[in-house]
Amino acid sequence: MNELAMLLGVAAVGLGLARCFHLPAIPLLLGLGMVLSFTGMAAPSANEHGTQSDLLSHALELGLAFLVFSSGMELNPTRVGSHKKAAVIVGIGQFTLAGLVGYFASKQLGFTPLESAYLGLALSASSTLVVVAHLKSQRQMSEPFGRLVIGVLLVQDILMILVIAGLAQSSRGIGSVMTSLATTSLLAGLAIILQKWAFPKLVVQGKLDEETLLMGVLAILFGFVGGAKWLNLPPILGAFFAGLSLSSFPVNGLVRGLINPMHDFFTAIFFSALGAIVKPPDVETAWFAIILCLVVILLTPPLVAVLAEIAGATSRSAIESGLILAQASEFSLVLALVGKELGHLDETIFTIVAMVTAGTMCTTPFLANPTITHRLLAVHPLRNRLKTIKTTTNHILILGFGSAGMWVLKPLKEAGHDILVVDEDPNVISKLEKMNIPCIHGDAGDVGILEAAGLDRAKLVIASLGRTPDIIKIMPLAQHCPVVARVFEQNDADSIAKIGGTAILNSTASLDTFLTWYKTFVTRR
Amino acid sequence: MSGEPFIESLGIVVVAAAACAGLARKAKIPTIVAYLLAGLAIGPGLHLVEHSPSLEVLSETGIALLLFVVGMELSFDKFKDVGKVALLAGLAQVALTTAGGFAMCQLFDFTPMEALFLAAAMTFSSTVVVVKLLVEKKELYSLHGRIAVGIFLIQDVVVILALTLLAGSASAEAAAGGASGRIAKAMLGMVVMLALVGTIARPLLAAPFRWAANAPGTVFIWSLAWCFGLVALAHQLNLSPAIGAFLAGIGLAQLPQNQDLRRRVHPLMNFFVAVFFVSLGLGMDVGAAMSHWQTVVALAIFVLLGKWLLFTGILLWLKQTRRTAFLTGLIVSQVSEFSIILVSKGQALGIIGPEVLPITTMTGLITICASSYLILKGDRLYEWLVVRGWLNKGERSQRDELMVTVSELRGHVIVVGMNTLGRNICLKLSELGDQVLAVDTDVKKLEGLPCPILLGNFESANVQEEAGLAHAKLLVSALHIEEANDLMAFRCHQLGIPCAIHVVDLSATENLLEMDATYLMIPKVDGVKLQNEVLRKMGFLQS
Repeated sequence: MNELAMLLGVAAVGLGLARCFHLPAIPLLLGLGMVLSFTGMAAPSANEHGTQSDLLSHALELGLAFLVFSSGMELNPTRVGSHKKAAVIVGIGQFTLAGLVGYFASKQLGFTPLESAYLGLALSASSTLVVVAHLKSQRQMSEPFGRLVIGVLLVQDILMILVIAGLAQSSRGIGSVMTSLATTSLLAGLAIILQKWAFPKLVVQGKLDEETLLMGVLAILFGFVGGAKWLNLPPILGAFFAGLSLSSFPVNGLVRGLINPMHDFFTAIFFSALGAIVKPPDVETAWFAIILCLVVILLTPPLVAVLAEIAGATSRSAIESGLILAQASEFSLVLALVGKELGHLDETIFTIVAMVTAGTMCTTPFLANPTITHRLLAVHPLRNRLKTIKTTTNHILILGFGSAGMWVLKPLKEAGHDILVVDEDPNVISKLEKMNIPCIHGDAGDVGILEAAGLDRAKLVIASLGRTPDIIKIMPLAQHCPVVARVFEQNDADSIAKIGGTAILNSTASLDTFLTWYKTFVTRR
Repeated sequence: MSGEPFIESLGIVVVAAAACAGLARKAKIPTIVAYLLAGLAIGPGLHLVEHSPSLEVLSETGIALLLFVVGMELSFDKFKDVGKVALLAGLAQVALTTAGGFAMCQLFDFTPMEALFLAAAMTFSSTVVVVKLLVEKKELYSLHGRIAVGIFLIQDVVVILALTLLAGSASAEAAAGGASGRIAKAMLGMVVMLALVGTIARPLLAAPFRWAANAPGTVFIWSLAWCFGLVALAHQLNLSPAIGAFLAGIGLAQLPQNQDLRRRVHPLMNFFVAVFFVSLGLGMDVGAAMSHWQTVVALAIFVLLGKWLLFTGILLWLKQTRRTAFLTGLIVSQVSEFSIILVSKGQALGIIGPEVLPITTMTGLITICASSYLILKGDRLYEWLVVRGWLNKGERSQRDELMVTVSELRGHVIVVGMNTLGRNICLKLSELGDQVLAVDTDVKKLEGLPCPILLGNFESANVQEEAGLAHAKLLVSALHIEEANDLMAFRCHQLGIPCAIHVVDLSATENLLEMDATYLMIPKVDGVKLQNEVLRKMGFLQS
């Protein structure tokens, strides 16, 4: 009980500091866990059997199961929207290339090939938990780059889980790898069958009370974990497939509310406990960790940006994706933990991976930041290839077409205005090109693009960007003409009105139509 | 990850518990009974799992979380009016039951020490069983519920004294006057913790909890750290984890996030408590108990009938209404898990024979099962006895009315998500004179609204229930979260409640239409319409 209290205390302080300094929680939990370990308050591998204390190891085991289970449950391709192909290209590309660079860098630092392979893999994927939390806090989940990044993370999570599963089997020879592939597909097949036909009925029509449903879901989790062990597969594969079997709508939604508190609890003590089993590094180890941190931070942004642009993203989306993905994954920790269990890695490598993960995660909020994006956009080498569109003048500039753009466009065209659209979604641009509407593929927050679009000669600007700071930045450049901007929140509307723009509050508009409907709804009843 | 097959054992425990709970639902058996049977099946029955220290830790966590929830549900105020009754009844009950039990055990072949242990074991009632059932029945706030919880706390203190005495007499330091020292420490500890919770808990916690209001996950972990921090402190002060957790809960009872936190702790607690009951069944030595079946039957009858009558008598003497006395008596008629701990300590010290423990456990199992039924059916049993004329219908006291926690709103409009859209809808509908309930996860966003508010994540079934979704006229979701909106549309479709849902992205409309959402709010489209009007006024469009 005292140990549990200590881990929870560490988690509580870590979460508080994370909020205070606007940092991701995981590295702080890890870091404070390490403090426990370094000061000897929690003893890593201290008892005579060379194993951790029971509570620490159980917290790790359960936390791992819940972590992987949740990521299986979130495996929902519809979130990625129309960016599936790009996500696969960037996801696999980053995973392979960053992995290879990590491998060779580690070999240069003098690690064995096996150790280098682990270190390379640990650097190859980015963190779903950190990135999704950052996107949510910035409300960027449904922006094009947000959807792309989520897709990339989904691809990488699957790759990581498969790699970890494969490593666990690797020591048993080729024959066993083949059998384990067969048994893995068996388990996956079972998960898909259950997901499609059994669980929707059971969960939705079963009319279970909360307690029974919770126990049922946990039984599915432990059942799959047990099944995996029985088939000689690593337990995390079981946890992942258990999540997958519950990932269909509305099952996942009904389950999420119940599982969330358990997930919060077990992952909080998981990361604290993980920190608590890290041994204090010596100078050399710390030095290696710093070098590998730099590899991740310096390599990932350009790598992802190039891949994303090849896959069709705008320069801004590509740069934003690269910056937000520059960290090691929570699965890197899992990988190192499994490697340690298997005897492939010693304490030093585990410590390095923990330090690199914590270090790179901490930098994410500073890297994924509009100022840096703009600085990088300014030095983007290909930016100038943009040909200035024929000298349009006295036109209406539509910044951000969005899903309702057609309704904006049509009446203006009918009224006989010249129109130019700027949008960052390649799908929108190709649709407009087919309709012979003048348009530029690019980011409306980019001054260069706005120059190309002839902002200084436009007679009206209509903006729907979802990013109020961008609109505020445009305003001084558009002093000569009215700027109309659609926003959702009152405070955004206020800040636009204050600097002379005309704000259209979507939410108020919707409120009016809602109230009209509501009156008929009430009288009908 | 250690050699011990922890996750396998836990897995078997969970799967068995879930299977039995599922079957029990069909057969209308209380889940507690189902869990105990699951434990018997996989332990003494099939020998799949053995009782282990790791399961013990999970069980203790379960007890702590349960009492934490109870503490959060009850504040000091709610105890004030039952404090005296609980204290008197609790002490009288402990004294009388021990005396009665001791006399009865003398009839069987026990040494005086063994008889004393058995009698003491029969005295204590199970907090976990009762609180779980009361929470299920939503009767924790009822008068008999509060009296029962008060009595359990008194019993807890007595158990702690007994255990401390035992530990004191056993350890080497007993020679140095350890026992009385320990008791003094425990008593002092109780005072310290009461003072801590009563005075500084609120000012200490309120500000940080408010500061982190828009991160409910953080607040949740903080409250758990507070809970287990006090549990650890209680341990240091020779008090039980249950008391620490209970006081931690009381410390949170006054905070605005209280309800939301309680709902978040619930699933966690259900899991750990299930493990607790299964491991209770696991540890059973059926063979040894069966060879003493006469004793077990006699003790079970004593606990079920004797304790009930005794208690009802005490409460009637304390001028409680017949109904309250009857129901409270029913509630305390089982053996506690602490009884088993007490007896196993005694056995470990070698002052009682080996057959006492299985007898106690078996009696515990039987009485817990039986009293689960009796508690769940208590009201009906009372009515039945009244109808037969075996009891006079006592006057129902005013205070006996159930204090309802579930929102009693009917025909209201629930608005989820207090952004500009949701907030304005609340304001407008309230102006129209409609009953509105505003829901958000951030307590700050709920401030200054003219209507009732509910703090919580509407994706959770509990929050939906508390908001009275099944009785609502309309659900409005202004949330920006696509998945949550889909889920709400689905729930409304299931319940046949109309809903108006915010369409964040036009790609989501298809899903929502499929789920039969009554009305879709599409700000992106509505905004364009408004914009076109503005453009008309500006002269860019013809009118």
